[in-house]
Amino acid sequence: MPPSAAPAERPRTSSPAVVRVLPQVRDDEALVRGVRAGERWARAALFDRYAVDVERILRRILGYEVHTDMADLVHDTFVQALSSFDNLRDPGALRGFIQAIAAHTAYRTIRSRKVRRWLRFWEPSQLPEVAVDDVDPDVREAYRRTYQLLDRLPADERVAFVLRHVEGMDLGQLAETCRVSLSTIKRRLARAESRFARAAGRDEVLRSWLVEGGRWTT
Amino acid sequence: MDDLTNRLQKLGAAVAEVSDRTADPATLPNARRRFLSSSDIAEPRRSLGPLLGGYRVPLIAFAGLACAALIALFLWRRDPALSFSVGGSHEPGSVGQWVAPEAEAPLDVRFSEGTVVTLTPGARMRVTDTSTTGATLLIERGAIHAAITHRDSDTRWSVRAGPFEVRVTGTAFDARWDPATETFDLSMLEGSVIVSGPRLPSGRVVVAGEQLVVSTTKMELRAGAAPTAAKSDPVADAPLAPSAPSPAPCVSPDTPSPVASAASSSRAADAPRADGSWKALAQAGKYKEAIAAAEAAGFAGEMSRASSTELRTLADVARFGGRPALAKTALLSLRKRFGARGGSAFLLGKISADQLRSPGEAAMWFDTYLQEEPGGPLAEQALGRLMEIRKRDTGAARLLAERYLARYPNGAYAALARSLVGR
Repeated sequence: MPPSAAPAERPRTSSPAVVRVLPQVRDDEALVRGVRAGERWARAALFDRYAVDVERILRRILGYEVHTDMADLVHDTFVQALSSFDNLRDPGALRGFIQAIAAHTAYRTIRSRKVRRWLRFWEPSQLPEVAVDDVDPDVREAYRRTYQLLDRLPADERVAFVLRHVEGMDLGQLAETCRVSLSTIKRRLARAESRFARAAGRDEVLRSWLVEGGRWTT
Repeated sequence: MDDLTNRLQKLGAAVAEVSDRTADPATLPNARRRFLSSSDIAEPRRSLGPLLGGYRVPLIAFAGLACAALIALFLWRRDPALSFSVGGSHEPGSVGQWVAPEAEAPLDVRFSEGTVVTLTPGARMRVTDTSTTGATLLIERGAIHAAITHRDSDTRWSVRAGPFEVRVTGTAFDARWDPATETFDLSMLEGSVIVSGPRLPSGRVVVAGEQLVVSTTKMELRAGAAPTAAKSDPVADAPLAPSAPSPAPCVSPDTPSPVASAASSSRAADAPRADGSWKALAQAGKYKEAIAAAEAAGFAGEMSRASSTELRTLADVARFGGRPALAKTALLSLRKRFGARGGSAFLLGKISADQLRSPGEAAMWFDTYLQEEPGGPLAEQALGRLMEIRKRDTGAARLLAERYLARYPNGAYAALARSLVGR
């Protein structure tokens, strides 16, 4: 259709049909079987069941960054999940499996961001303002500065720190998600906390969140 | 748990709260559509490498990549924003200015990368922003046809109409906005878009061959044959909540989005029932008859029995049926009985300004909306209307205009705001 033609001249649908789709509940075992069998409904169900978790983990690890296409990262996570399904032995562990892949996707994105920033001479201190209006300005500033500090941590420590303190995972879940032993994750987390606390002590906003009685507790 | 851990968790909880508010509602529908329509599942773009720790890029490859990226960055930064011309003029168009056909002939707006937007007679539109990857269009009234050129994956176009927004990559569609009934009508001819706004909080993918008619009171999605309709994927594009009745419940083997199904079920449960006569008439769009039927049945009684959704519908019926005082009563009841905020205040402002001719009361309600939903989808309109009402009060108008320009430098009321700041 030529773009200059008036829309009014275009024929319309005479008797429109309405599409309605109703939900079905299936457990993880059926879902895993369906995905392995290449069933289309299973891909849809996999996404619908875990996309909220995946998006939240990615967003919380990565923070707010105008250059990040979150939909692309969610998509990547599910593509990776499907291609790695052979590694999933216990269908009951599907949630942990998907979360681990989301964490890995975030980890990879942090590393590529660091390269991109180096190439574009873009310092973490120039992180964009957060586009939310109805939040206490002090909390919003603490959020922004937290991600400034997280940008200085090694990617694996940042992932561990956020999953523990922002996402609220316990140490067992954290070790499973990062696919390391419990002792390794404890050491990694301790390093991350120590680095973060030292840097936060020099930050005028974050200091008030972590200092009590004018004295550090580390 | 030691003190530091406690405090880190407190900080983490605050960070999580802000993070959750930055979530883009279009992310999941967009990702879902891509995931379910992609054919690259068997061969992902990247293989699953060692997790969290063992990833190393060889130095030479990295240096090569860095050089390539620097060159690409240099070239990218030289890419100018799109320009456009209106009608047969060779002069570049201005961002923010009104575009409207003068006669009974359609008017073309042509962009430098090949996109053409055609305004039908009676339509008004503004180009409110341009960038290297696209532009933002604001339909103030009437119908447009858009044929967006898809250059690459970074193509970013957006079309706004009242509280609705259409996010576009490359596609062709017809869009119509009627500010009187606050109805947005979108017919997809090629490609797909995401529409967001009231009743579509998570965004809705609309694909070729579909028509979406959405207002602040109802939504209808029609799937049918369009001239250039591409095949629609029923799994990827499960509808949110079509308002037309289904002939019989049917269970599909496909699973809809959880957002979609939740919205669908909650709206289905809360939707106005078509058993009462005013409700049936309202569903048929016969507002004058509907409000007459509601009055005949006893307006106060209907209000007291109505659910929150029914009360909102009753207010709209009264508003569109030419009974603004009844609309106001219904909205006040909605706020009192159900604690409604935001949109109800905006509507009260609109009714007071446009129908009751009470600018003082309108200003109070627009101000209330801005306090209740400072970042809401109607904030720009509320601030603009407030500025318009108070434009004779030099001091207050100037403050409002500065506030408006700081947030919406290319908004629909930007010209008025500049005139108020400059006087």
